[in-house]
Amino acid sequence: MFEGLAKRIQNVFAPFGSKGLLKQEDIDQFLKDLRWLLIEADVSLPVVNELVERLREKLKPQTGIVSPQDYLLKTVYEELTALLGSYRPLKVNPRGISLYVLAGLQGSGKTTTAAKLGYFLKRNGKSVVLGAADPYRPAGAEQLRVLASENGLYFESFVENGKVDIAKIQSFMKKSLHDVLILDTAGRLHVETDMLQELSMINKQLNPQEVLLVVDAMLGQEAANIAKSFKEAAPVSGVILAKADGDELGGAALSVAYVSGVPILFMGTGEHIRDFEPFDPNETAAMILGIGNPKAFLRKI
Amino acid sequence: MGLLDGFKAFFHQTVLKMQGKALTPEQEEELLSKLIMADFSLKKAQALLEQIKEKGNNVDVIREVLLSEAPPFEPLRDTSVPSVFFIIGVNGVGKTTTVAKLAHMYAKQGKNVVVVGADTFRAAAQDQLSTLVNRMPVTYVGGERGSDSGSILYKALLENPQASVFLVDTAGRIHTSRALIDELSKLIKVGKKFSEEFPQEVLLVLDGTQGIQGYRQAMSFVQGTPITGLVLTKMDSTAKGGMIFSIWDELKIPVKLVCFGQQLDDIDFYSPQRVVDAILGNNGGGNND
Ligand SMILES: Nc1nc2c(ncn2[C@@H]2O[C@H](COP(=O)(O)OP(=O)(O)OP(=O)(O)O)[C@@H](O)[C@H]2O)c(=O)[nH]1
Ligand SMILES: Nc1nc2c(ncn2[C@@H]2O[C@H](COP(=O)(O)OP(=O)(O)OP(=O)(O)O)[C@@H](O)[C@H]2O)c(=O)[nH]1
Ligand SMILES: [Mg+2]
Ligand SMILES: [Mg+2]
Repeated sequence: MFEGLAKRIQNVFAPFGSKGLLKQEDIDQFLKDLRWLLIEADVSLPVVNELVERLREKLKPQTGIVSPQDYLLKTVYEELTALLGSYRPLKVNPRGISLYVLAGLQGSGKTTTAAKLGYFLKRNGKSVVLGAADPYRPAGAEQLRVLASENGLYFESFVENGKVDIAKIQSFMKKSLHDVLILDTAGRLHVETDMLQELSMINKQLNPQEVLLVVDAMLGQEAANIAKSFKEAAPVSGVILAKADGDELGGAALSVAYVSGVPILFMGTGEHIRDFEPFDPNETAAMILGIGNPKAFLRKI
Repeated sequence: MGLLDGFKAFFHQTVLKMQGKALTPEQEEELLSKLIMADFSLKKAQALLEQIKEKGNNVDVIREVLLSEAPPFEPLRDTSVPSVFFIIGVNGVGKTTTVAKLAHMYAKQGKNVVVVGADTFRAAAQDQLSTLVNRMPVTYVGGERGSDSGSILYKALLENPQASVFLVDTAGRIHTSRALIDELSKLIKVGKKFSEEFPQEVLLVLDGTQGIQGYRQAMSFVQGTPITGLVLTKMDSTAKGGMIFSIWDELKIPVKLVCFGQQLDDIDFYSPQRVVDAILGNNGGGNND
């Protein structure tokens, strides 16, 4: 993930290594190159344009600076870390079981991610229940049940008569002595208003600690639209990037982070239960720009 | 202008405004933007823009240019009996659902359909497919999770001489994993043991919402897998499918089917006109905004 973007973006900075001053026309050229690069890296076009405009406002011609390249790097690094947000642990309910709702498009990776997240939390000492709340996908609950039993997680189905049984979830949470309930909801498109309405209802009635948007790292131009619609339908508090192993550019990640305004918290890097890790925005931004040690780098400037 | 404004209106407003006149640099930029947002590659979008500038820009010219560059319609190769279709692609794009939709389509035509569950990897993949087809008058051949998918296919081909079409669902595999793509060619070889003509179709399923990523997937799968056609899924989103133009340019792989929902009937044959209309914003057929 992001390796391809890193390789290309570092090329855009390269010509500015040796110049002693930075003129407006250099800045224009730099932004032009950066723009094409972001487009080719699958960042949604409206996001590319806004990012470039924000950088245009910040970047000013410089005389007598040590290195224009470092100046550009620092400005982009700051913008990128602001965009990606910062890592935080999942919110916990101090009075009972913590509820994490997973939502996203069809096939984005929700059910697999529910199991991976559950397993991750279990290894951190939590008692975790995977809750099936997808009435539509054939054998969707069965998929979650199998994943739970294979990985030593508890399982509970909240699907009754082809619907999500909210009352059952509420009473389960009241009685439960477990630490975490991860609710796996049905896939829905950002244009399916009825389905977004359903998601909105689930969240209003259950008031979860986290609503996590599971997005496919391989999304294209649609990424921005998706983030926007889900954010409008539900109080999305974090993003989980699934299938990060399928994408070396990471454009969708940038689009989703930018439009949703919430941090990317985890990423999935394969089909196996352990192919899952917390996402560190600062580390990622530094990696993309080829800055080995961001703290030392920022001090130097 | 807000972040996502102008998405719905898509081409129309832009294109109508500039009817006939030479494009200003801003309009060129806008046209290019629209093409990129419709999932055309940057390279393809630029080439199309050049053509449009040359031929005079109005809606008809743009439509003509797009139509002349779109992959042509080619029917499914289902005339030999039996025919074998493989459905392949990356994870979660809609392979299993497409198999069920095709089974439904052929069963309605009265064909003798055998559905082969060759995804023995993902949890409940077998249950998903068998649930989808269990009310249809089709034969389902599957196997245990973790078992050898080649043996399932072998058994299905051996035990169903009466079949007119075999629809083989395969496990999702990421295009960057060479090993998994190679594994697929082994499965395809099992078919060859029965007949050199097998498989008649190897359909690569591309998820519309992944846009230009689909192009990279095609470029990768084609190495070692004899892809005969594409299936575009999730076109009930706002995706436009521009990447099929580049795939046609470079690999000459046609699009065979378009899917636009989760129901069994949400599938149709590809039509260049409909795809181009959807790109231009006048909607015909299943693709909608
Ligand atoms: N390579 C890879 N595959 C993944 C990853 N996460 C999920 N998958 C695969 O993606 C496919 C879809 O995953 P699911 O978890 O079923 O997706 P979903 O969002 O629950 O799908 P619906 O319930 O139908 O909306 C499966 O084949 C998973 O194995 C990942 O990080 N990497
Ligand atoms: N909106 C919409 N959803 C679709 C379409 N095709 C498939 N889906 C949904 O996408 C999800 C994934 O579909 P599957 O058929 O399981 O995908 P797959 O490629 O077999 O997935 P793996 O076997 O896990 O790799 C399911 O929830 C399907 O209902 C479509 O055309 N439109
Ligand atoms: Mg699911
Ligand atoms: Mg499948």
